[in-house]
Formats: sequence, C-alpha cells, structure tokens
Amino acid sequence: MTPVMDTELVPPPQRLVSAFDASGIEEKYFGTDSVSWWGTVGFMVIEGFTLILCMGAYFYLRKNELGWPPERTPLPDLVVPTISLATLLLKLVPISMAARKARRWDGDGVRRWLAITLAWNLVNLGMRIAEFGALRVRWDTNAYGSIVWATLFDHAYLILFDLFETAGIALVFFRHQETHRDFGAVDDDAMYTWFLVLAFIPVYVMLYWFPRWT
Amino acid sequence: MSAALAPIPLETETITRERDALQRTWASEPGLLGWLREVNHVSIGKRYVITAFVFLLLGGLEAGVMRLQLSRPENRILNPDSYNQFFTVHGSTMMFLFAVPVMLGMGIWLVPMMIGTRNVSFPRLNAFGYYTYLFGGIVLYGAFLFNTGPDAGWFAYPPLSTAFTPGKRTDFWAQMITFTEIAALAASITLIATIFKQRAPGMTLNRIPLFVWSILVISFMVLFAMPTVAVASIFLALDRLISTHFFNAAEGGDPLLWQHMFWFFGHPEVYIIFIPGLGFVSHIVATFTRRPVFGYPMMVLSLVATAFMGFALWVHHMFATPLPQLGQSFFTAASTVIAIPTGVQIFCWIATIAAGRPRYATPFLFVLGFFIVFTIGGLTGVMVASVPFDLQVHDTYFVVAHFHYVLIGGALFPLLGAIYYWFPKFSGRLMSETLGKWHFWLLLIGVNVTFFPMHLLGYMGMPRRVYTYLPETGWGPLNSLASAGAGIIVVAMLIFAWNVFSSWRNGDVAGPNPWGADTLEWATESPPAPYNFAHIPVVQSPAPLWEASGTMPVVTGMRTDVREVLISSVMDAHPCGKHEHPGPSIWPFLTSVCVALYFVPVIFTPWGAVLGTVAVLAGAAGWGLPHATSSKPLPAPGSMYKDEPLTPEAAR
Repeated sequence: MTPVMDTELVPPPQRLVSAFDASGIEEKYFGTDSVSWWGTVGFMVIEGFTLILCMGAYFYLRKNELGWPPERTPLPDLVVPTISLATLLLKLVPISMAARKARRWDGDGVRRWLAITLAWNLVNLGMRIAEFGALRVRWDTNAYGSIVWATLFDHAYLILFDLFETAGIALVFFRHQETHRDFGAVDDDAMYTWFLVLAFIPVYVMLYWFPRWT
Repeated sequence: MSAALAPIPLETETITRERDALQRTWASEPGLLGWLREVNHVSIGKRYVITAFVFLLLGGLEAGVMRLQLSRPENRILNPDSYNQFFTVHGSTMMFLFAVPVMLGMGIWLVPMMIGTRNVSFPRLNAFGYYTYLFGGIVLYGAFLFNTGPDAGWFAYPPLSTAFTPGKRTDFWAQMITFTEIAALAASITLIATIFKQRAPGMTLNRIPLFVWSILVISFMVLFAMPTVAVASIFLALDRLISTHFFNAAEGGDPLLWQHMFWFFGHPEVYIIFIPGLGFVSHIVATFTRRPVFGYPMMVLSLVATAFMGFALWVHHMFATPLPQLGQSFFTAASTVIAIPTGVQIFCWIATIAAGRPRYATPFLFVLGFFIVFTIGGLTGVMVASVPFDLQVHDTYFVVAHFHYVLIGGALFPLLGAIYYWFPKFSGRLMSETLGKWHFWLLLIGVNVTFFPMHLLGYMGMPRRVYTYLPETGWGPLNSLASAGAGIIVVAMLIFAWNVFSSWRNGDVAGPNPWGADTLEWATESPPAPYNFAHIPVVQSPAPLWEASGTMPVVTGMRTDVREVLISSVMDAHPCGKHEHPGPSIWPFLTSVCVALYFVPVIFTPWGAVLGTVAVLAGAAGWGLPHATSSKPLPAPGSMYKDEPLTPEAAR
C-alpha cells in the first residue's frame, strides 16, 4: 500500500463548542416548516405532471384526426361529468373545515368534518365510475378512446388514493388517540384535496368541452 | 426560545454520555429482520451503490459478450435473437439500473452528512424506494434468465415494441421501467425535502456544497423526467395488454408520440446521470488543489441552467423523423447552447487547478480522465447537434461512440474518482493508490481503444444493433481493436474490484478526514456513527473544516432518546423546528412487495391491476396506521415534544 495521506494537510482534532441552544425549539406541524408538507407537495407535482402528460398526449393525438371525436365516435355526455365536477368542488367545503379545525387543535371538529368528507369521497368515487360510461367510447375503440380513458383513469386513481388517505386519518381520529402530527396530516390532506379538485377542472374542460368546440 | 450563544466548550463527559444515548437510539437492528427494517440513510445509500455496481458488472458482462461477438466478421457466439436481448438488457441496465440509481444512492448516502443532519427527511420512503428499485432489477434479470429478456432496444420504439414483438419480453421491460421510476421519484422527493429543510444552521444557499447542489438539481429533474417515461411505458403496456391504440397509427395513434415522450425523459436522463458527476469533480478538485472551487455562483447557475436546457433538447434524438424545419433549427441551437454552462464549469475547474498545487492522487487522476473523455464526447455531441451531420451518422456506431464517451466520461470517471475519494468514509479504510493508478491508466486506455474506433466505424457506415457483418465491409480490424479495448477495460475493472475488496479488509485506517477536505462529512467518524453527528454543526463558511480554528461550533439541546433532527429555513438555514424521524419498520419492504404484486401480474392479465391496487392499499394501510407494537420510545417527562396523545387540557 502506498500511503496517500498528507499528514500536514490533515486538520487537527477540533474542540466542540456550543454555539446554538435548540432545546426551546418545537416541532412544527403545519405549512412549510413541516417536512410532511414537502412530501405532499412533491407527490402533487408528480401527479399533476402525469395529468399534464396525458393532456399533452390528448392534443398530440388530436392532430391525427379530421374530426374530434373521430368519425363514428359520439360526443361524450355532459350531464354526468358536470355533476361529478360539482360534487368534487363541494368536497372542498368539508375538508377545508376539517383543516380549519385541525389548525385550532379541535379534535371533535376534525372528527365531524372528516366524517362528512369521507362520506362525500364515496359520492365522488361513485360519480367517477359513472363518468367512465359518460365517455361513450371504449378504450380499445380508437386512440381517442384510449387517451380519454387513460386521463380519466389517472385522475380516478387520485380520488381513490385521497379517499384511502382520508379514511386512514379518520380511523386514527375515531379509533386512536390523535397526536399533534395527525392534525398536521389533516391539513396536508386538505391541501392535496384542493390540488386534485382544481386539477380536474382543465381535465373536465378538455374531455367534455374541447370536442364540442372542434 | 432558542438562542445563539457565545461559544461554550462542551465537557468531554457530556459528549460521551450523549454519544452513548444517540447510539442506543439510532443503532441498526441485528439479523435479517433488522436488515429488512433498516431505515438509516447510510445503510440504504450503501445498498443502492453496491446494488448498482452489481448491475454495472452484469451490464458490463453483457457488453463483453457483445464485443466478443463483434470481434470478427460472421461470428456465431450469439444468434440474432440473443444479441437483441443482450443489447437491450445492456442499455436498460446501464441507464435504469446502474447510472441513475448509483447517483441517487451516492446522494442518499452523502447528502445528510454533507449538510450536517442525521438522516434523510423520509427514511421509510427512502427504504421503500430501494426495495422497489431492487425488485425492478430482479424482474428484468429474472425474465432475461428465462429467455424473456426485452429485445426491442433500450428505447423500445413502437411499432417494433408493439406489433412486431409478440410474447412478454417488452412487457417485462415496461414494468421494470415503472419500478425504477417509482424508486427514483421516492429518492428525489426525499432528497429535496432533506436539502431544503434539514441543513445545518448557517448553511445558507451560498454555502451548500456543490455536490449537494447537483443532487438538488437532478432531484427536480427526476420529478419531471421520470413521470414522462412512466406514463409512456404504461401506455406501451396498455397497447400490448388491453389493445389500446396510443401508438397504433391505424386507429389514430402515433408511434412518434412514444418518441417524444421517451426522449422528453431520455435526454434529461443524460443530465440526471452526469450532473452529480460534475458535483464529484468539484469536491475532488477543491480537495486536491487545496482551494475552494473558483466561481461558486457561476458553478451553481451552470448546474441549474443545464437542468433547464436539458428539457429543451429531446427532439435532437429524432432528427431522422419528419419534423418541421423550424423545429429542427430550434433543437439544433438548443443542443449547441447547452455546451456553454458545461464549458463554464470546466473553465472554473481549470482556474481552480491553475491557482492551486494539485496532488495527483487517484481521485484527482480520474478527474483528469473525466476532462479528456467527457470533452471528446461533448465535442461529438456538438457535431451530432447539427441536423445534416446527424442524418449521416444516425443509428451508426458514431452515435454509439458519442454517447459512451459522454456517459463514461461524464459519469463513470467522476463516479470512480468519487469512490476512491469517499471510500474512507464508506469503509474506514483507504484504497490502494498503486492499484488505483493501474486502474485509472488501464481504464483510460481501454475506453479510448474501445470507443474511438467506433467513430470511424460509424463513418464507414456500420449500423448499430447488427449482430454480425460480412468480411467485405472492411469493418473487421476496427471491431477487433474495439474488442481488444474492451478486454483492457475488463482488466482495469478487475483491478478495481480487487482494490475495493482488499482495501475493505486490509487498507490503511483512514481516520475522519484523510484528505484534509473541507466539507462536513469529513467531520464525522469513518465510517460514520448511525447518527452521523453527535452534535449538529453550525456552519459559518462554505468550507467549514478549513476555516475552523481548532474549534467546531455545534448545536446543543437536541434530544438523544428519540430520532430527532433539526429543521431549518429554506434560504438561510435558520433553525425553525424539530422533527422526530420514525424508527425501523418492515412496512417499506412489505409495501414494495405489494407494488411488485401489482406490476408483475399485470404483465400477464389486466386483472393484476385490481389485485395490485388492493395489495398496494393494504401495504399503505400497514405502513400508515398506528401500531400497538411501535418501537418508538416514550417521550421524556416534561418534554416539549408534541407527538404524544393530545389531552383536552393540552389542546387548550
């Protein structure tokens, strides 16, 4: 072995001196000082970008057809998707109230609004299942059918996972003793819900209105 | 409230007591179960790096067999079908299972030490990412072993990968992509949060080590690049499994949609691979010239600029497709412009070296090798950025030569330099310099002997991905030379492997900072204790270990009985909170198994998605819900820590 350490360059051991006392600093549960907020935002970026990719593919495939939807493919229904969007928008009320109660450490208030949110999530999921029928095309009919199913399915997964996340948090609040961190989770869940609802608006316009304009 | 204090020396007794307590809190658990429950970033980072090197070995062996096959005309070592599988698995391995994971793995291993914290922000997500990556590799090689290796090339263009490849080979490839992309995304979210929120007090944005900057930049790139290929590969799998028509021109689909989506990922992928290499180079240059890198702000801005521009080049992989001329011109210009930020960095390193007194230790030699090999690859990159030239050499061996120079020069040479440089931190021992120099020179010679002739073969018209050629083509001698070069690379890498093995067992004991380097990871023990720092350092300069005058300012008042880390503000790294990390858990591993229960069955049946969704939700439930058997220590009496049952009194 050839020695490589240049002993003149190796710094001498250093004496530790206290320069900052952190004993009075507490954990933060809401907003950017909570690491879970960053995780939630990270997943929102990824999932939002997958929706943008689906929308990009939709418009890319549009250029291959003279009409849109292509010939012999009916226009999508408008009633069921519009009701679905409205139910999604309405979900913002209970989850925002739950988050408001969470920021006030009001466990009972959180429980009440989470229960309403959870029930409403089931309505959202039911409406989404009905929405696939409203597309009036199968995924294997043509490329139009493939991309509208993929886009709607992508967003349906977000609804499903949001339902699951809300159910998990609700379970903690109803069956276990909640901790401060669980209140932070409610707040993050509300942020995620706002994302998935607002993200659906351009998807809704693209899937159901754009074919009517072209 | 917290307070900055006049420095108070810590008593040795206090330090020892706190170290003992931290050791108990952060120690890894023994046995196989302990291994599977591990969430420490050092262990997970090491696993990433070691696993990636195993895949490098496998990908290298495939390359070796291909070079044997091509070493002379009309060779019969591989048949056309096997050759298709070999080059596809080789490319997929090197890009998806080696290059990206090894860089993210180095980030996972090094970043917390470099920024002065004890673990990454999401330790369990981090562990989950590793197992998911591992399962992706096992899926690919499991298929390959049973003659079901993908065979449509590492970029799997439809319609070759759809209508013309029946069977399940491409489906295994598509699912391997999804596994590895999920892993990369998990690692990236973890690293972004760690770098933004867990830097040591005082480590403002302009004091972040350049390698950490490089990891931050590629983590953001991963957030946008990986979903693209994941969505594309899901579309591909759906076309094959349930007869969707995304890429089927007969039903309004478009094969070029795949190319756009793939290269929107694929070109940034190149930068995701070599930007960390630039980070390695900066640290090695600084340490071995004993000077901070010249032009720090320009270095950081160049990394960020490269990332942005990296997303505006993808179409230059598609110059042979019918693109509008304006589009061709734009992407030619963009492909040329991206040489500028890389050039800025190279000039900054040259200025640093010129102003310092270089020590030509092995890590520094690999940096010099990087300059040579990467610059050649960069120059041929500027050549193929030109549409007329690109059309001439498209799909020839010139392109093979170009991207091997870029990837080996830009990623492998800095990575190997980094292994020599940080091996003492990895193992506690130094690698042999003699063997290291043999390794370096043989690799430098081998790489050039292997890949330089490929430029000429490309000029002579030899297309890539042909399993053999006729003697009359005249390609035989240069191919023989390239294969001889591959032999030299094999010898070089065997020396490296022996060096790692023997140094790990018998190398000189390194001590905490054998190179006299300046960044915080060298303030930890070698190898580091599971908590990294007994006391979180307070940073007062960009080179904290060079400018400390015999004392190191640290944070006190952190709890030692739970896995507590300090949270700081994004810009100024001002302490603004604490966070208790979760302890070891089996759920990241089990959830990863559940993900495999999704992706493997859907290769064969769409009902796999139903089974998989249930499995993944079950895994997530197990992970997320409170456990009666939680091993979390109870909070100390009177603690300020709030993650404990909230009583109505406390709520008020």
